[in-house]
Amino acid sequence: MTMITNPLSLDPTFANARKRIQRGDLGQCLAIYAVARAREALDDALTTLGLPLVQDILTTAGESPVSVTAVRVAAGTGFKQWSAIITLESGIRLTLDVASGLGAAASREFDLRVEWSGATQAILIDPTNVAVTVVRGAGVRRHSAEISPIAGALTGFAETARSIVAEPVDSWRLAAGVISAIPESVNRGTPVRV
Amino acid sequence: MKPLRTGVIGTGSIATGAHLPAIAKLGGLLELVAVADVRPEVAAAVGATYGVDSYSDYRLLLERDDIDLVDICTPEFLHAEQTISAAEAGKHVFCEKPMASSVAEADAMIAACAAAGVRLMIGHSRRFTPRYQAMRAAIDSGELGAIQFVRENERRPSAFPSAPPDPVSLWAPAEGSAKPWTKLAGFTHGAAMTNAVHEMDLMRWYAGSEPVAIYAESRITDPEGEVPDFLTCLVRFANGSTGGSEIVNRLPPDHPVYHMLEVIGDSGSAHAFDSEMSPLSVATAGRIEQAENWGSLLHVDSAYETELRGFAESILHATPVPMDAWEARQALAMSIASVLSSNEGRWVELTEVAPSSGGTQ
Repeated sequence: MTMITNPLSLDPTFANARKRIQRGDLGQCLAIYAVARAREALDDALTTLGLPLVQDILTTAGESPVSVTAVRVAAGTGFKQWSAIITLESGIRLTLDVASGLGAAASREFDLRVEWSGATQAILIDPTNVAVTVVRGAGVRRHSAEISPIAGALTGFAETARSIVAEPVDSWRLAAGVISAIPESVNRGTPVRV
Repeated sequence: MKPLRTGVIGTGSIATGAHLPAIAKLGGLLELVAVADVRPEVAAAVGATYGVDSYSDYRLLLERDDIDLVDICTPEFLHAEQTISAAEAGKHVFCEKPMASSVAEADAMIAACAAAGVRLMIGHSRRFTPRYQAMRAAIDSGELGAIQFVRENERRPSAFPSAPPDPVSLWAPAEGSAKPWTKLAGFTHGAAMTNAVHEMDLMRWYAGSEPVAIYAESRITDPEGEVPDFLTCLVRFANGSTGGSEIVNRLPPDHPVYHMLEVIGDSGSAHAFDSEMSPLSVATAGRIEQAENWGSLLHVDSAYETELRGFAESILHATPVPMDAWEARQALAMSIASVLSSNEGRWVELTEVAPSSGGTQ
């Protein structure tokens, strides 16, 4: 069996959230919203950013996906975004936005957030929001203060992510199914069963 | 110029918490003269608070010749009947959102007001909060370029829809019932109407385009619930842009109301997150709190004052209403389409629920 480590599993914010969620801090889980967006145009942003994110969420929730419905928008500037609703086995919905090529529209180099809504607690994972913001006459500049920038970990994982989607391995099979279903849903204009 | 003599129909939480205080602040434009509510004791108490007449039958209020304008604050399933009756009585109508229970009812409301020569405006208050207007100004300035995507997420604590402890807040169909109409399947579609109609309106307003199709999924997460308290949806607009919204109405009772609005254009983007938007946010070590749920984001007093001022001025100065009723009809159509989509598990074209009939009031 091939073991491939998800770069997000090494991030302390994700690890901390996983511990809290798996010990039941949310109470009843109501919904999950996740977003990953990069200023730079990536070759395959959906796989590069989406696969690790979806795999981490499914693993943390202990859930299997049932269906995926998605839309895609693209601009001539290189901007591409996929938005998807993923129905999980228990009925919980994961709403996902993945984009790259925001260019000047990006408020930061990389934006990654996962918001877990529970009946007892809500847990927000916002690992890239570690920064120094400088305000001056010319505008606002934001300097990332991440020690191990998570964007780098994800782009460094891009080739592995693509190979996983092409040939899914055990612990990644469900997430790879979701990522493959997103463009299929966009092209067919219907929900796609995973 | 004399102020418009005003009657308020329905004196539940949205009237007592938002509309009546706003009317009281608009003394030069609006003068409250009467209120009506099916609960006589509630109508009387509110009437006494404001020193005006009260009725338990709204039709008696409409019979008064000295009333120019009615502000309808009842549940949505009553909006069409009351608006049409008011129009036929020659009163201008300001009506709380959602506009009605169906698009056909909304069209009938628009037609009745046009036939009677009276003004109609629906209270989509979010458009009139400073933060949402600032977002619109950023789009209108052109600095964001062509809009590609709009996301508006809203999360509320479970206590929000039914928490007000006083018995006058929300009408309950069954006497002594602990469940107000907002939680009963026979009276509302739940999240799609309670708050998603705001999100629908904002997505359409910011996308600057008519919606083509909607896909939605909803859930009843409350074990005692009858109507969905969760909804997530995707929208395709005619100009090629897309939108998304996620509504969660059952966060812990002490959780702050949370909003997240993002508008992404091809040359810029605008973001408004609740902790940055709310004027009542209190930041302490490791935690950001909103001092009040009710008063922070959703119900900024100025929004109700602004929308009612704009409506009154449009009548007094014969200028266009600040938000055409057609736009509220389109937001309603999006909400109705989201209900159908969720029920049938498929994308729903807007034309399925709202036959195209362009034009405005």
